[in-house]
Amino acid sequence: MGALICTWRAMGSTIQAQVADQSQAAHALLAELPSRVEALEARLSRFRPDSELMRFNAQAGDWVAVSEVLWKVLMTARHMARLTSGLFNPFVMPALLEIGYDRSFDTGLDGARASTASVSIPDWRSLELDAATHRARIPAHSAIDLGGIGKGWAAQYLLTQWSVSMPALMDFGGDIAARGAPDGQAGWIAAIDDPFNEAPLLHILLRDQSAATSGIDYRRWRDADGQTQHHLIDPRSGRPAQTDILTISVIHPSLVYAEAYAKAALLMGSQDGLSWLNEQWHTEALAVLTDGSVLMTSHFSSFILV
Amino acid sequence: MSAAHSADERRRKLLIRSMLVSGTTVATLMSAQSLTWIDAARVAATAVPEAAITPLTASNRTVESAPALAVQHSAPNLVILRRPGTPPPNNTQAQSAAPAASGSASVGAIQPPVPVIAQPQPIIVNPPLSVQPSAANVISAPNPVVANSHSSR
Repeated sequence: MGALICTWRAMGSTIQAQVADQSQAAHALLAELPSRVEALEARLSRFRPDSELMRFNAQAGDWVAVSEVLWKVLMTARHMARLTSGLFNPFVMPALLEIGYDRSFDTGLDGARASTASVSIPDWRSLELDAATHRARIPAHSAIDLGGIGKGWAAQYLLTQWSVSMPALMDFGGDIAARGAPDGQAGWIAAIDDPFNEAPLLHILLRDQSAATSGIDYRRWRDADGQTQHHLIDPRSGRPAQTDILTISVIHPSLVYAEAYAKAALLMGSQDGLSWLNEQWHTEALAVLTDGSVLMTSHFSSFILV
Repeated sequence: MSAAHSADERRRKLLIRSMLVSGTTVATLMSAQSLTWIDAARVAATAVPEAAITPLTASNRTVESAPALAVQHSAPNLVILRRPGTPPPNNTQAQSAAPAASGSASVGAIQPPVPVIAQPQPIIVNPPLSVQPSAANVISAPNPVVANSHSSR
């Protein structure tokens, strides 16, 4: 059995959805995906002034009733912040703006405003959620950015929304959620990039697993002072992370977990980060360091396609 | 038996009866007390130490912060796939990649290239007001394509 593949640009990334099914139902599900992603982006993007997220941010300090979608994402963000002890922190937007990441990376950031100021980032517990009324509140003058988990959350959400259960793979800008496996195969094949080489580092097999890669290798730019900036903010310093990890790929059954864990581990550095990942349930990781070396957790090899 | 003797006898029996009742009562009380002591001892033996059930307040709540994360493994169980200075493996066959644990034999002077700062061409993306299903690029392929896990781009 072949596959149906749908590819388009959204959320500042290339999105590709595949299903191991060539029925009309499968075609219809894929065909409607771009509009469904657009609907999510319209709610959750910080690059759209009229998105629900930005309207929520504009009311910082007040209790705001939010939609079911935004509620779920905020709940997820708070949960991931707790699991990573705040290394994943959704309050990084002011810090991103301070270093010039004030528009989609697609539009180009070279020459963006330069700043060496550290921005104080609120504690993740400052995101208050009232489950009884689905209202949320953030501190005055703060703002939420969902970039750290937005793509993964959207990919998982759309998969669960499908009324037909079929083997599928969602690739949202390199963050991959794989459900089931194509007929006759053990899983979906994904390549792990080698930031030092054109060819992939290796290939992995995913079945009901997800893989997310965080890195400081691509989303980099030179600000107006010629200084290199990148988009991964360390909430402890309010500045771009200082780390020996260039890229880190995390495998976990949940794409949101994989995304958040990858960011947290990158901020911790290779030794602490990989040790911490070793202790997390159902989590394996591979890191490419700035010196070119490659480390992986003890059971990552079980995913490697030989 | 004289009336006096009968009265004495009645008093004696009453006293004994009273003593029995009292004794029984005392015994019951003592037994109950013992049971209470036993129960208290058992509860004391199984009770959670008071320190562990200190009500959580803002002043005594432990704030978890990243630097305080405990790394339990003194020797992290990591596998080194590639050491510094070792060129990456020559991976020409996409679907037969093997873990490059040994890597190339060449060491020393070879340094990994410095990552090139990506400077993508600006792409002005105009968010569509509405996306028509017919505009979706759905293609049929004989086989699934290999996905690619990479940092956001």
